[in-house]
Amino acid sequence: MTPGPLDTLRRAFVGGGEPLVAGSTCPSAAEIWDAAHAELDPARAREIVRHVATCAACAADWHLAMRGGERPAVAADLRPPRSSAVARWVRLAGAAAVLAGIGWLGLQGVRERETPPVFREGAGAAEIRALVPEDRPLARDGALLRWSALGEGARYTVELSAEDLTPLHTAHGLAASELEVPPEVLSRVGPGEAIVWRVEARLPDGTRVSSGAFVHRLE
Amino acid sequence: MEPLADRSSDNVLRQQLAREVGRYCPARLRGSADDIVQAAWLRLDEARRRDERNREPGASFLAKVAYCATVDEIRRDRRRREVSVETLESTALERAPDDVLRAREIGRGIRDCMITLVPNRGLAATLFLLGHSSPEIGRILGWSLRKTENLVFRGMADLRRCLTSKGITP
Repeated sequence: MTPGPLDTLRRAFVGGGEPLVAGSTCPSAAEIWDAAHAELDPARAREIVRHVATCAACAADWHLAMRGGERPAVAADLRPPRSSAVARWVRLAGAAAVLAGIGWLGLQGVRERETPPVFREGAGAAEIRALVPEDRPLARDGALLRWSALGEGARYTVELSAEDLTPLHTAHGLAASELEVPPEVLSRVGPGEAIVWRVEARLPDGTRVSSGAFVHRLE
Repeated sequence: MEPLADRSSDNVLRQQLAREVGRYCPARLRGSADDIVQAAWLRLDEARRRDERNREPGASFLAKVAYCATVDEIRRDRRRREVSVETLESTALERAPDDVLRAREIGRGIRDCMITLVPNRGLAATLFLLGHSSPEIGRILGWSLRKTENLVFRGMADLRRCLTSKGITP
């Protein structure tokens, strides 16, 4: 048996074929509605979603609630402003400058903003960042995913998914901080659709560092 | 405040309510649709009596009232029947029995796996499976978009791994 595409998982999760019996601990219809429309305190919403995760009847009720009313508004402040990335680099630059010496402070700050990041093995601030511009479509031929290196000896695993998070490709044990995506993998993604990828690094001391999820649209 | 029944806009409101109930009411309960509309109407009347500012109910509120009345009837029906009431009847009931059994097995597998996931990843995967986008999930659960995207990605990856370990392999 295969879970297949996301639609199959979704249909199965929302009560597909399951006898639906609501229990005494099920949240009220009003609470499910409010949670589904982001009109509930997030802490209470989390409790309800925790219940919905294991209750087929409430999953079906939640799904029904999504048919009506307005979908949860997306607040602009949920998307991190571009300046936050700059601010993070400024903070990193500052930390590096302190380590390098007070005399280098100003110069180091400028350099960190202008040059690709270099992270030290085992450093507390180790972070994997995509080095492929997310605002430009990715070419299908020779699509190259690049990310910030975590130093000598690091080995990388890259997981690549379609926009609906259906797995497309996984590459293990990469020594280089880049991956050329096989064209046959991208043939399963339509023009203008997105791919999602993330990187996990294993450092020589056994430390694991995971990136966030990066999203790129294809040509 | 005068009773709703005396207001000239009652018919319009009632028609709107009936349309909303029609949106949520599963086929097997269509015979009870009038009763559900009446139950929704009483809820609306009650809410308006409590509203000291005597405001006209908005479309979103009407939708919520209709939804709540319908789901309460669905739940009563489930208790009466103690058998499957498909919210997605139009698709699920038309499927072949094998497909229903397969969906049931996958659904149970998902729910079993959800218990084992890191809590926040499980929450994110749950809402993703329900069809919410990452920004919506962040809004509902009070997370930043960045955090939400990561948790959705990892939650779905963990879920697929768990399903695979149960023999439900991609």
